[in-house]
Amino acid sequence: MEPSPIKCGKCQAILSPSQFNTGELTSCPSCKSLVAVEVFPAILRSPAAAFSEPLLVEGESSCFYHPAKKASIVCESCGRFLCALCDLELNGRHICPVCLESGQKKAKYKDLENTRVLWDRLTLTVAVVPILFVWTSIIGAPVTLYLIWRHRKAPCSLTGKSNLTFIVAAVLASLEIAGWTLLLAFYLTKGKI
Amino acid sequence: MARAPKEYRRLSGRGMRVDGNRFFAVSRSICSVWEGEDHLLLVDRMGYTETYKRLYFRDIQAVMIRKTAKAAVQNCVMSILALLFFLWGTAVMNLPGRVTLWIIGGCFALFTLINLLFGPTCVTYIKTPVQNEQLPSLNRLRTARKAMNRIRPRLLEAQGAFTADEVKAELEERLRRLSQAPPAATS
Repeated sequence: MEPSPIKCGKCQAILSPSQFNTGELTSCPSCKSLVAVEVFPAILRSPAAAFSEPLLVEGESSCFYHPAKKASIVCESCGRFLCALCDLELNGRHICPVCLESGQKKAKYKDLENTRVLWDRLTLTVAVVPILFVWTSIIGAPVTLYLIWRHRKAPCSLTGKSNLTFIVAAVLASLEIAGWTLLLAFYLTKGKI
Repeated sequence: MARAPKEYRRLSGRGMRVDGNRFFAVSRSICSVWEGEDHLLLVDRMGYTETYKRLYFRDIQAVMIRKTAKAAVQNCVMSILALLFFLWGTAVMNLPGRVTLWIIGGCFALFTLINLLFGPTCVTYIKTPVQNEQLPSLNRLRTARKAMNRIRPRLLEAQGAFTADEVKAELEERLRRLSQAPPAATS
């Protein structure tokens, strides 16, 4: 099978292999845009061919999901026998589609995560922005503390593991609450006097 | 106690992915690229949500960098604006007005200078067997080349066997064979 051609990002014209890996910008034959293309061995790799799976012979173990097919591996999560079709490899582990789906729902497999809510940044915003409007921090500070408590175990960004943002938000919210409490106490005692 | 090594290392550059057309953006997200153990992690941050896309080193077939004229156009527009504000400031008689206009002109001149220092702009794509992914964070030629120098050894390590030049030679050979092959019979 021939590798798929590499096209110019602007005009979609097929680029010539003589333009690859030159280390310099070369002109696209069609739109004359300057392009630099670097190709890697994966381009020569043909896609994995579909293989016929062995059918079950009497006395052999069968796949849990496909009883007519021979089991080739065991799911490392639930222990069910799997045929080659049901065997999903993830970070060197062999698991079945059901375990993969449940693991994805429980965020068990980090490699399958494709979205995260940044609760740490959100709590910091809720802690900082109300300070600008002074009075709103009466509500903002308790809301910040609630959000921190509610999402204290939520993972931060995949690219940074620090909980520092949570800590800063908590300190700020606590200071705001302490400030308001002191102010209230001051006015109350002043009123009594 | 020794600190655990970081799982991801950031590749320099930051860019904006805009969904929509030329005049109206439906969404904008801040993009960055991170180098993982066996893959590149594309991070799109929109508000308080991050979306991740993984491009495994073993699957990356090609990287294409296309130079664009964006920086040149920006420089032209900003230098013209800087010049206009300087001329306008010179024409104004009162001192506060003149200084204000010169400061505005100076800001445009400074932006032009910074833009010049960042160098020419480009668009970077990564080709895998199933997609052509644009990397908005690698939007300067210098940044893109720097990132390529960092990931090239990782890609070759993951894919092995051929060197980049051997791949090029093989592709040329295949193309030559294809052009020499007789056309398939049609029914």
